[in-house]
Amino acid sequence: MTATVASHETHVEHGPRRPPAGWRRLLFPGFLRTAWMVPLFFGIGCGIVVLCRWWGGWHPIWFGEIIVLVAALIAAPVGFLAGIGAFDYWARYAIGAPTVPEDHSGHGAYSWRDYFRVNTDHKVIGMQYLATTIFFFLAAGMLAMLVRAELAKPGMQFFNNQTYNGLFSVHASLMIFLFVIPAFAGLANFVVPLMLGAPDMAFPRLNALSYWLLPIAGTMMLCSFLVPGGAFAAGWTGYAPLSVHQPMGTIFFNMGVQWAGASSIMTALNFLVTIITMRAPGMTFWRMPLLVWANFTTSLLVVIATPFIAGSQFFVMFDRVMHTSFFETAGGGYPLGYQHIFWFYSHPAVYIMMLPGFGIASEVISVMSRKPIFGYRLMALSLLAILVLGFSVWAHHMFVSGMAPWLRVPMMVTTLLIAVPTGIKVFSWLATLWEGKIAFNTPMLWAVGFVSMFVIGGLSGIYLGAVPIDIHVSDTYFIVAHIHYVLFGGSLFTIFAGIYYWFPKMTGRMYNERLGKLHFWLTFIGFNATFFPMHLIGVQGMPRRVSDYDPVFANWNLFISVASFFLGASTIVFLRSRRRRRSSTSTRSRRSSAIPTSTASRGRSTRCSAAVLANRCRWTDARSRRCQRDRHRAEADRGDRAAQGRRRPAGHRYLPRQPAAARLCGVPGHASRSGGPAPGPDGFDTARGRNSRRRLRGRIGSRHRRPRRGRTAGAAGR
Amino acid sequence: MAVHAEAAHHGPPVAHQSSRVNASVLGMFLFIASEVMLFGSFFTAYFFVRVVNHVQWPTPPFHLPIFVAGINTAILVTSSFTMHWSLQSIKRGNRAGLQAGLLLTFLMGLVFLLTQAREYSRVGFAPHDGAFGTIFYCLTGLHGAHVFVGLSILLFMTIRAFRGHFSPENHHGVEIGGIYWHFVDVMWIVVYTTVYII
Amino acid sequence: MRRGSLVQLILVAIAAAAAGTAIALLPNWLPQPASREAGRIHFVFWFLTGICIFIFSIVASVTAYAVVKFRRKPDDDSDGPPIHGHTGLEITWTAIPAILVTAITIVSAIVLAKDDAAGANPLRVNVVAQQFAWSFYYPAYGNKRSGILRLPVHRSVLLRMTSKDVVHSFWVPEFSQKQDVVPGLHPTLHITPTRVGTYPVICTELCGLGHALMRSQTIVMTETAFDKWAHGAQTAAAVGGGGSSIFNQQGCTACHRLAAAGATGTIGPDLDKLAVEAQRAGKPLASFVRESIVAPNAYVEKGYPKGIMPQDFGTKLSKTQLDALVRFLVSSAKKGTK
Ligand code: HEA
Ligand code: HEA
Ligand code: HEC
Ligand code: CUA
Ligand SMILES: [Cu+2]
Repeated sequence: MTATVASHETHVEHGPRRPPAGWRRLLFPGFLRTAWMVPLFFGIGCGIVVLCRWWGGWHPIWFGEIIVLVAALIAAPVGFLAGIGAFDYWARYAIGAPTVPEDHSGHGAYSWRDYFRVNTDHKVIGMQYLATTIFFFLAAGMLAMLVRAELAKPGMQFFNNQTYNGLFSVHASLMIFLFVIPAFAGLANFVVPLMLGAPDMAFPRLNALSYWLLPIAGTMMLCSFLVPGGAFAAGWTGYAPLSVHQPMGTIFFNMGVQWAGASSIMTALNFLVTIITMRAPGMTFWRMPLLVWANFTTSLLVVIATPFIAGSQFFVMFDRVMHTSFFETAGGGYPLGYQHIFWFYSHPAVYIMMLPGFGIASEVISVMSRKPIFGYRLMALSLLAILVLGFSVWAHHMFVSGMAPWLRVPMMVTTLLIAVPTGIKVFSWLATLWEGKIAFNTPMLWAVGFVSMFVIGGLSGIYLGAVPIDIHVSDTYFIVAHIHYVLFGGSLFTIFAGIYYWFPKMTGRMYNERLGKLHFWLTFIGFNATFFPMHLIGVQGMPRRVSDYDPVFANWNLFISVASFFLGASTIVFLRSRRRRRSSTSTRSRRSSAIPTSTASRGRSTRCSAAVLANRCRWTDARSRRCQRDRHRAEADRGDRAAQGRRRPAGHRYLPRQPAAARLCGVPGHASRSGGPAPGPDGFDTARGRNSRRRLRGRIGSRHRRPRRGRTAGAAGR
Repeated sequence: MAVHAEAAHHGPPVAHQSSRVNASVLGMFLFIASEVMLFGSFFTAYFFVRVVNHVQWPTPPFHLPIFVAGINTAILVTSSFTMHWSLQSIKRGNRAGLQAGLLLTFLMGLVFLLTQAREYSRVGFAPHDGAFGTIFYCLTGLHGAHVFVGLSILLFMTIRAFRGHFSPENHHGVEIGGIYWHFVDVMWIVVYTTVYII
Repeated sequence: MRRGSLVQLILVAIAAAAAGTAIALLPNWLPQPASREAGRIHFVFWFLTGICIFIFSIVASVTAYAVVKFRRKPDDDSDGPPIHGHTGLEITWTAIPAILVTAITIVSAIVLAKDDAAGANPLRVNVVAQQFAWSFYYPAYGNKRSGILRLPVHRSVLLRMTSKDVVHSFWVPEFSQKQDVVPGLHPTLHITPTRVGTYPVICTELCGLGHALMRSQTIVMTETAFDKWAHGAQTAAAVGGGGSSIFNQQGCTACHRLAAAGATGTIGPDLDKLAVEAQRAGKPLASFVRESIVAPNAYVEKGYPKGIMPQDFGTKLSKTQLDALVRFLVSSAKKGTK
């Protein structure tokens, strides 16, 4: 199809297209074009609604909620995407018009403006994801601060109940759908292609589109505070029939989830195809870094499960605007159906929010201990086990829901069984630490902190999984504590680990180690002080989702609120810790924690597959004959490749297995194109200083041809 | 495609192919997997209403036009064959066959969709008439939306076919659109069986 | 691993376990059990806590030990040993959690089965939840209705619950029993109270803006006291005719303060001051009250948001109920001004 076929030789340097002058500028993809396309599509949406209602003889033909739904929440966002240029290439392609070479915008970023375009470079998209998700994290965190402010004292302080319910609903929805899930997608976007030795994701334009859906979803959820009746207030779970009868804000949740869900499905699809079809030669499944494994399983979860939340939100929407009877008992609907469908997505979703974190932790812990991960295969297999088990436990959220009682024990069994593969992972991390050469720098602090905090969260999950205990603590602050131990202590800690770990690689700058550590310790203390007491008050009898509570819990709540402000303030350190001196000096001066800062955020990914492979072999099956053979082959191919400059035939369904690793590797002109020096041979195992890297290369690669330009350039550049 | 695709660079440099499956085809299959799950969520709702809640099917005063829908089914199934034929044609270099096949497929899909719309206006109940109506409209409507998307894809393929963009070497556009169309077709058979027949 | 370091590790683990045990024992975790079910559930809780302390102290001690002992020296550039795995270890840490988890499952399943078995001849109570109020009906006593759950001690009780609108959840922390109340379904719950006393009934499923206030009480009494209460005449209010009972039943109490009904809600205006409010609105008291209930948005008291008070009381209440309610509010307001 639009095969990404081209040869390096014919590749022409190109920056982003320049906008034309004069009125034609209005047609150029960008914010100017969105400025008129959004109103246009909004108008079209209104027109469709009015026409349909007139034709169907409904009165009134101008019906507020449906106008908002169709025109503001569906049509206008499509107009935004069209305006910003997400569809240009496909629109041209669809009607058979010649596609403008760069109408999908070039890859890479040449100035800060390029981060505000539809950009197809996976690194730029990764950065876009991270910036956006951190913004929504701050927004959601501020909402949590408001929640805590209200709860500081019993009785009502600042908000009425409906507003309060809106606060935590939006807090949780933003955190989950616009922070944790996409932040992992963003990190993976940046690093997975590099780890695989692939030039980019399989569908770069789709990748760009899935990013641009996010600001839409997030804005939608935040904007729901502005509509009459206030924000959606049925919790992030939006249980029917309550959500059916709530004020209009609820449809902002329904649609926001659809946009965010579409985004994650597309990204997941992209990851799967990339991982399956674009691994560098010799990069077998059993050599992939665990982070790639984690993203592979996560993506499978997303592709299979996410349509279910789409379905559940469709049903609620239909019940609201079309008065259908999915969950309305009066018409024969089944209210518990919502919960089953919702949790069939949302339980896997909690693993969608955790498995990529497992991947990051594996990466950081192994690199910072300078040891290969312990029990690599079992680690990968346990991911798969969690994937499979994760689909069979959804009803553990419904132990007290009134569902068929016989379902409880089977669900308890599967739920508790998940402790086994998770335990394998935890113990393997510990074994990886054991006898390592541990550099206790910021990413490592977060990773190790993650292990212990996640174990607390997981163990409280075991309490919940045991039905009798869940009957007592369900829907109390014990659950809130569990949520935050797994999501904050689990997902968020690993996101921070990942951000600190790859920060130099992404930005070409070093973060401030001292502030990074300070950030960790403040957060660690604040986090435990905030969320640990919640276990206690939950068990003692404080229900969740209440703005007012029994005065016996007043002291603890005040303590928690104060601790949470402390926790919030620690985020300021995080924001400060990232602007730092240029890396070259700082990395060199702190070799022990030297994260190579080679690949700058702009420019193209490297395709040094042989190097990637050499690296992977060391971490997986370095000693095996097979790996050495593959590596030799890859290196030899590279030689062929440089000599021949062959092109790939276009458009065959079953392409012959590519003989040459080479086209991925070290082609002159490409390494130099990237904004900085190309990454060194071990693109990713970053903790080593220069010496150890050289030694390593000597150990496994000395008998073979020395790397050509890409590699040497990379090494020298550091 | 073949006309210009190679002329300019459109994406990242070529990657190593680590699988025999073409990326776009794999992408389409995965997309279909998630579509199946979307249908799955609607069938779950169907299950709860019909099996768990024992709602009468169809609820007494109403009838389902099994016969008309059956003919409609036949039309849609036939269109799958014409789709297949057009793909085979272009593989053999028969451009006229490709064009005719796509056109026929498109027309049959259109007939299906229009018949469905007509059925809606005649069937005598609405989505808000209880759970039976809800499920009927939502399952057939979801499928109808997929037919609509399939038709758009077919339209684009037809335009490109008439513009001479496909060739025996390069027909991924037809193949992938075709896979989607077959999926829409198979899905209809499932919907027809569960909603109309049993 | 050397002997000395093993000893050190074990010491760290013991310290961690001691800290965990202290956290488990020092605060009062579970409320005093007041039902037979609660006792069993607490047993599972402590059983599991033991296991968790064991696991957590292993994890914490190994982490702490490794982090301290295997720290890299600043000028050390060497790698750790290239250990890729150890089959024996891996089998061990798959098997032990599997065994522990099986034990937890078995204990839980047994407790669950016991809790689900009602004793002979249970007292049946029908529970009806609605936004934001609880009603309890006693079919054995002429379907006597009460806003407070009264139970005899030591007799097994079978609650059969349903909801009029959205999902609610019935929870008494001292009974450790909880059950969601779903419209259209009739889930059941068994309780055998063991301790006389008064405990809160809490709605734990988000059910709208009054969720936080949807509370009631359960009073566990001696058998004789319960009999006396149960056979006592229904007060006029409790039959369902009286305005004050409608006020309670419809959940007005969740949002309004009204001394005559013992309501202390703070979401809506203080109804003890109704007379003043009616004056401010410039309407006669009775028609103002009626309008405020049927169409709350017609006049919105200053300082209160529009659309908070449910809009559907006009359709939910029958004509006679509405009349009774208005009469009750008007009379209490007049009393208030006197
Ligand atoms: C990142 C997200 C995440 C993760 C990873 C988990 C992991 C787990 N969760 Fe959690 N959960 C949530 C996020 C998550 N959860 C959220 C958001 C909710 C609330 C939703 C809402 O209602 O709003 C929730 C709610 C929730 C409930 C429903 C409670 C209720 O509403 O009544 C239950 C019940 O079973 C549960 C159980 C578990 C279990 C058993 C695990 C297991 O996967 C944990 C496994 C890990 C370990 C056990 C620790 C490590 C293992 C060892 C060291 C080995 C040895 C261990 C043993 C032998 C026990 N969770
Ligand atoms: C990834 C997920 C995630 C994260 C990170 C958080 C983070 C936080 N959460 Fe959240 N939370 C959820 C997911 C998450 N939560 C979910 C799923 C629910 C359930 C919702 C439901 O019931 O439907 C929930 C519910 C929930 C509740 C229960 C509400 C209720 O049931 O009534 C509370 C109450 O304390 C709470 C508090 C907090 C706090 C204090 C933080 C803090 O960690 C936040 C810290 C971050 C910041 C504060 C932002 C940045 C700071 C600055 C910009 C600096 C300036 C700040 C100041 C000091 C003012 N959360
Ligand atoms: C969910 C909260 C809620 C519930 C339940 C509720 N109200 Fe209200 N009520 C309000 C709010 C908020 C207002 C003020 C805004 C308005 O007038 O709409 C109000 C206003 C009123 C007023 C007008 C008072 C004034 O000073 O303007 C009356 C009378 C009243 N309510 C009676 C009732 C009765 C009787 C019931 C039960 C049948 C009830 N309310 C249930 C929230 C509630
Ligand atoms: Cu009823 Cu919460
Ligand atoms: Cu779960």
